[in-house]
Amino acid sequence: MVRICIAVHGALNKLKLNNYYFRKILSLAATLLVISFLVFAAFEIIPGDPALSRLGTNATPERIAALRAEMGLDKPFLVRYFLWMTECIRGNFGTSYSYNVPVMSMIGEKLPITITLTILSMSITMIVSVPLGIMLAKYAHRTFDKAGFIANQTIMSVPAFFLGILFTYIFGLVLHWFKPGGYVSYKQSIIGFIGFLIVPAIAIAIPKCAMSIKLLRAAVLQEADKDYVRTAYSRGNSTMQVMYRHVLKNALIPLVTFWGMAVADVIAGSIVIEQVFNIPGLGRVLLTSISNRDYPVVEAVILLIAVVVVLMDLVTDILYRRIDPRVRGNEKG
Amino acid sequence: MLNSIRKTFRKYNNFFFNFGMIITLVFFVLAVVGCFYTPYNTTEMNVALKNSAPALAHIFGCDNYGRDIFSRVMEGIRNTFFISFFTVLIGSLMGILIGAISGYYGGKLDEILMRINDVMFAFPSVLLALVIISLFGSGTMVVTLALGIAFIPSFARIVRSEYKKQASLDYVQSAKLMGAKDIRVIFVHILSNILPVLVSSVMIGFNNAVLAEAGLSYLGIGVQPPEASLGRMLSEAQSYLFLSPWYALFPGLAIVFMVLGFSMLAEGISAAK
Amino acid sequence: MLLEVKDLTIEFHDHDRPETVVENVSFSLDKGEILGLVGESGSGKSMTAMAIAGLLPRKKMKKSGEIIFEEKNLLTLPRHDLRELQGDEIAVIFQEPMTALNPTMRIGRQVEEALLLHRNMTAQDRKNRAIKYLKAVELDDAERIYESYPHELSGGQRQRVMIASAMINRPKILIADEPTTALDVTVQAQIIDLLQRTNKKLGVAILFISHDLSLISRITHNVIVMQNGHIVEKGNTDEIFAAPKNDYTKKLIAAIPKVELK
Repeated sequence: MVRICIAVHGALNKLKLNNYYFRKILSLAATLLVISFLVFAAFEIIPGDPALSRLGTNATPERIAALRAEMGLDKPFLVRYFLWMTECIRGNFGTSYSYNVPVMSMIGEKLPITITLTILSMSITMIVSVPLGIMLAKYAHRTFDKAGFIANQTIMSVPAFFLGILFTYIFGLVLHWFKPGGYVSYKQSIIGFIGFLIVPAIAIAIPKCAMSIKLLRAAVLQEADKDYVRTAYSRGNSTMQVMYRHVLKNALIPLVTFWGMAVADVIAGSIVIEQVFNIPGLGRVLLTSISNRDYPVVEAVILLIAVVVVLMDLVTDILYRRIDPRVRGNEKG
Repeated sequence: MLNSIRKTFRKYNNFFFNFGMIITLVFFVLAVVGCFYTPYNTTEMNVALKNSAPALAHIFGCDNYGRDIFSRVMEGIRNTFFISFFTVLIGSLMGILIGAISGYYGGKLDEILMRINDVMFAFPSVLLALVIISLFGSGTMVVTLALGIAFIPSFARIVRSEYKKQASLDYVQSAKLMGAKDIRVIFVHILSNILPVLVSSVMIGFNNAVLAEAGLSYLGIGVQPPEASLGRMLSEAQSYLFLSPWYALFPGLAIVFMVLGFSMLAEGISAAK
Repeated sequence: MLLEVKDLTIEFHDHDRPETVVENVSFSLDKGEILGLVGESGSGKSMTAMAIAGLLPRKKMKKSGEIIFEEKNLLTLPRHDLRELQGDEIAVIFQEPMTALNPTMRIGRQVEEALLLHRNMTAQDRKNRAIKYLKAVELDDAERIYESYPHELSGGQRQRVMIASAMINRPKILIADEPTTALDVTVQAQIIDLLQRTNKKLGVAILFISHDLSLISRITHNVIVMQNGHIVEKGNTDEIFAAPKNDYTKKLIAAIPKVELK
């Protein structure tokens, strides 16, 4: 992480790269603006008056008009979008229809849970898949290669929430390694919190691991045929040294893109997994808001995930340029 | 016709394709038969058989209402097949249309379409579907439509890059010189040339559609009770996990093997290229 | 005698029928000698060289005979002991300087890798030595090149880097597998010149593999002519070029374009 910071800093100091990142960030901001507009427009065109639904049975024409004015619903569409957008940038996503509290306070409390779950799952995916992918590549075209491939493909096919249920049964109910549904809040105990989240994190990580392994195996096999690998052997490197010092970095190039996109996928997966393990996270909030038609909350969650998607795009780009010096050279200005 | 089918099969006669084909055919047969016949009525409850274990009469056991799990798994497979099919149909047709126009003509339109498409693509399809569902409510029709729309970006992306590659090739140029209209070039000449890529991505589409549908129905969105869906069966089974673990196991395995079948087919098709 | 190859035979086993690519090849290499190994593609010259370098795959291949270096048979040496020699006593430079260097690793780390593997040195000492060798292969601006990536260098510069990285441990044998084939003619002459001077200055024996006879005649002391996996003629370079005995050698020599630049 520190190295990335230094890299960003160093890159920004050089004018040509400065231009590149400047343009990149500008285009990402534009993308976010487009998404926010689409999201806002989508929730505008749906039938139903939010003021009416908020007042419910208490609705009188005067009270509706008053509330509409208070919510800013009487202003033109573009003005409302602009107001909403500026508020969002300041971190104010409006008020929840159903709970009448600021959306930010509803989400902010749940955010650490989803973030922890995502970081745990992604870390497990990366740490486990690299050695396994290299190992599978090393033993490619041997007898158990096909069996390994089918096993990997099968693991890829298991939905994370089914794995969660299996884990609940095996490790929770039969082996008593953890207490099913015994979620510990991070406010009570950080260790208990992470200890409980580790099982759902593994459930999310396993199918992602299988996918990473498959990609890495193919990339390593492709790299292993290249001339520089022979050069590395000629210097007296062992196979493991060749793999980790030379091949791995080159083989990671396709994987970085996959991991970047997997982050958003893991967040989506955590929405379902939260239900399996009864975790009161962002997914729970999103699902209740959807069934209550609590649009400000839904909008805020979507925007947040869009920000994550866009940020991951940027991080992927930075990592990509860290790993592959050729990309850095080719995109001057 | 028969001959060309035979030829196609010979071309794809590899281990992965056959493996995937067998699994997918088994599920397809289960789904088709499930339309007309199930061993037991899927909604008939029987208190005496509540949470009973697998036995000869009920090979997958019975659920918490004493309904035959095997029959309900069959119905669930049928529903998943049905939803996945229309999801992939909507996603691929719209994806081909957008991707073809974007890739063939290029320019500003391409840039704008692909910018939006890239973000949508990076957005997990389950989430995208959830957004649409939050707008239009849940239910089988809405879920199918929502998933279909959520699948457009990935198809559009693949089709666009293929069209970009093909548009500069000689046969396209000569077809244009011969006076073929753009529509003909796009939908006859190029489309037939990218078919293998398309078939492989349709299989991956099925793979993802089954997973997404299962996830949504686990959340209670989609097929509504008392009709069976694999995901919802799993979520119901969770309450009886200790008493009758088989209730969760069989619908779960059905999802796993269905997905595996499609992914192996995709693997086999891309291996044959 | 530094290296002795006795009855080397290499068979491929990856097809239905085993295919013999090198058969009963015997020769020796002396200290400080430049030995040319010449032949058309498929003659087995590169296979022979790779066998000496220990870079042939262990599977799908049957090797017999002996390659004796310092009383050790390289063909039967355990992998671990072989690695001790690779990059230390025996170094290799390859045909394609474009692809023979790792694209994602800085030049400096690649040049000093053999030091890291075989010598117990501090990072600073390694760097100093690497820069010294980069200067020795006549790369101006060695400090900048030390920090560069391969794609930032020209083909000639990369081949110089390869030579520096091969020579950094002062090996006794340098195997040069068509080191100039992929380069421009002018760059080619410079690299040949550099190899000759390296040979004189450091006393390293060079096994020079090439299909280019005029090049071989200029640089080598002795030459081996190979055809279809067999040695057809070997001996002193000047003698063979003056009076070839074998028909195949005669044909090869006759085919050299006679352009005298004097």
